[in-house]
Amino acid sequence: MKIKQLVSVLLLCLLWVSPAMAFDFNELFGSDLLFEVAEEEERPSLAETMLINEGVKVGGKYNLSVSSDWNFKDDKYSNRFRTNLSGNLFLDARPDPNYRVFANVQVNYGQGIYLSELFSDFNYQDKIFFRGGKQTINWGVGYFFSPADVINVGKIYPQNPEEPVEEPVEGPIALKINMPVDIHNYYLYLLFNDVEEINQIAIAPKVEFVVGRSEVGLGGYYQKEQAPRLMATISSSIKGVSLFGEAMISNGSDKRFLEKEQLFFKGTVGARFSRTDPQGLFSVAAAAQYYYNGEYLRDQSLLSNPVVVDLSLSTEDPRYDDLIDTGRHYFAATASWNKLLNTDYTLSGFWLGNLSDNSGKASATLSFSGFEELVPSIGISKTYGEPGSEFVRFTEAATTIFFNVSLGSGSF
Amino acid sequence: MKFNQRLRIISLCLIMIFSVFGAVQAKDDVDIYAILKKIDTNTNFGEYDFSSVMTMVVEDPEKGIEKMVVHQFRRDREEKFLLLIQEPSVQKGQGYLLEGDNLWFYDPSSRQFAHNSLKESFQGSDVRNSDFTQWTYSSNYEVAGYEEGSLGGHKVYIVELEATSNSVTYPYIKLWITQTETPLVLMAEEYSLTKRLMRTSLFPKYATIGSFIIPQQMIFVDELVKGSKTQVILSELSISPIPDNVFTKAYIERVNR
Repeated sequence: MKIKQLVSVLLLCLLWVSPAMAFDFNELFGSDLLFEVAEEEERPSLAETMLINEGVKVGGKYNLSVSSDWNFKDDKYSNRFRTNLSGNLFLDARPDPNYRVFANVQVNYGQGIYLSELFSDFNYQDKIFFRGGKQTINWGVGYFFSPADVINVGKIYPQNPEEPVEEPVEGPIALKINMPVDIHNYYLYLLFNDVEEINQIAIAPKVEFVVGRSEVGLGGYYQKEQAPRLMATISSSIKGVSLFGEAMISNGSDKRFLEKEQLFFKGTVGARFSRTDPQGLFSVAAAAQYYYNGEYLRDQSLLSNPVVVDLSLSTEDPRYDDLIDTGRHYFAATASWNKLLNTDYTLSGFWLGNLSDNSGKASATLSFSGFEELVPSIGISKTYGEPGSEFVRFTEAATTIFFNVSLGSGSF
Repeated sequence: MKFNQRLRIISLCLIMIFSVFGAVQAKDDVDIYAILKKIDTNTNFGEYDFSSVMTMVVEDPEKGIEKMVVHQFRRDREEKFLLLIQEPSVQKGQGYLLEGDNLWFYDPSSRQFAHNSLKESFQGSDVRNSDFTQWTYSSNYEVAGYEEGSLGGHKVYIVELEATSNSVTYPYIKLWITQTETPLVLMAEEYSLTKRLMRTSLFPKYATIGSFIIPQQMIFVDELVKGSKTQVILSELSISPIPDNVFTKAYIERVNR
């Protein structure tokens, strides 16, 4: 009996083949293993071909989605159906490796068409690189909060709850000068938005240098009649976990509710990581970030006063910034389980909270990616806080169940 | 059944197994370390730069077959590489820039760079980011044992390696190396810390360019997800000098849309 078992085990060992053993090695390695490559001297280098286009390249993205929300509050519910049709179209002309012009137009049905980017790239002897025009600029390294992004002030939340003003974030008109030196980078930005006299041009120098496994950024921003700012960033990674931090000091604040002659500090730290087990059953990603906001509103009771809020929104120069980012301590976190147990489902959760007034928003979403051009998702979100607190300033605390389907969205 | 008969059957089975795999104990005078050193030297471009177009065919049992085209630039002497994704269009412009211990991932939609780990898999394929750098078998591993055998009609050394550095992706590797003047790795089995087979890599075609020899066709088989494998083929190989500015963030931003 024992011999039979032993023989069975041995036969099983012989019959079992790993996926790699399914190859016919004689066929795979049968012909010549080596062949010689001759360099074509006439051929332009790969690096150069990437900087040249014949004619103008056109491309973009298209997005159509429909969603339905059911809002529950005090045993009552209301329903809202929304259609989102948007896209972008870019044009890229590269007549010469040292010169290109790029334009990107965003289209949002119901909101109109706007120019997202229009700039040219040129350089001085392949050593100093210039980008002039309307362009996207990102200075921060933060995931949710980026106080060091002193150029795009006000762009704080990745998922801004119930934005009262649905304005897309646009880059400024600027000249960016970049000089890479070995592994390090030196930048100088000149910003021309709303400038009527030469002395109103904003100046923002920045340096990025590498120390060991970390990258450190230091920069500043100066514009006449605006609060000057200094910033620092650091990003690194330890054992597959990305770590990041930002700090910003301003001399005065652009917020109208705050003192003009005072130093303000903002800082943030956070971490991101992703892991996939060998079988792909647990492909998870997570991020968490704490944010200290020195430009918090000292007298929070002002925000409970509808007169102040209305005034803030109705002035000729409405400062939406005055009404967000009013708390002192924030925390945000997200986690996702992609391809749940090797299926086409992805489960994700998100939380963003103002720890100072205990308001915030949390959501959980389940999406399905089994059909290529049709991606449905369903979820639940909850906005919480006392009336007048930050996240229920423009809406009431409520629980929402939402259903969303992306229909035929893609790139071309 | 008598004891002698049992012993004969067991011996016969063992002989069958060994004859199937053609494994024979190797001679003692082979300098495996020198062979590994030669392999590493052949794939290290030293004072030269290297560029190529990589076409990757990713076979996933769930997603089906996907094709990716990636432009690769390497400067081994400065531990630099740049990978720029050209296809599929939804990922076009994404880039990986390695400089020493620092690896940045560029996302063109946000126009931002983010730190990344070298050990991570490349775009969900069976290829790891570390597969794009030069081989370092002789400097990061020590020989735990070897034997002679054959693979696909080629006489090979089957070499077992153990990592001496925790910077490598796989702590244990088994290599099938041709017994030729120019040793070529035909197959590699890569194991986890618990010695579980994670991936098998096959290198059926090599290209000689200048004095260098690198795999031109690579097949990476995921041993844990049945049916998951990635084939990589290099074309437009060149060892012509690459301008210094290619290995910069500025270049990635310039070529992007």
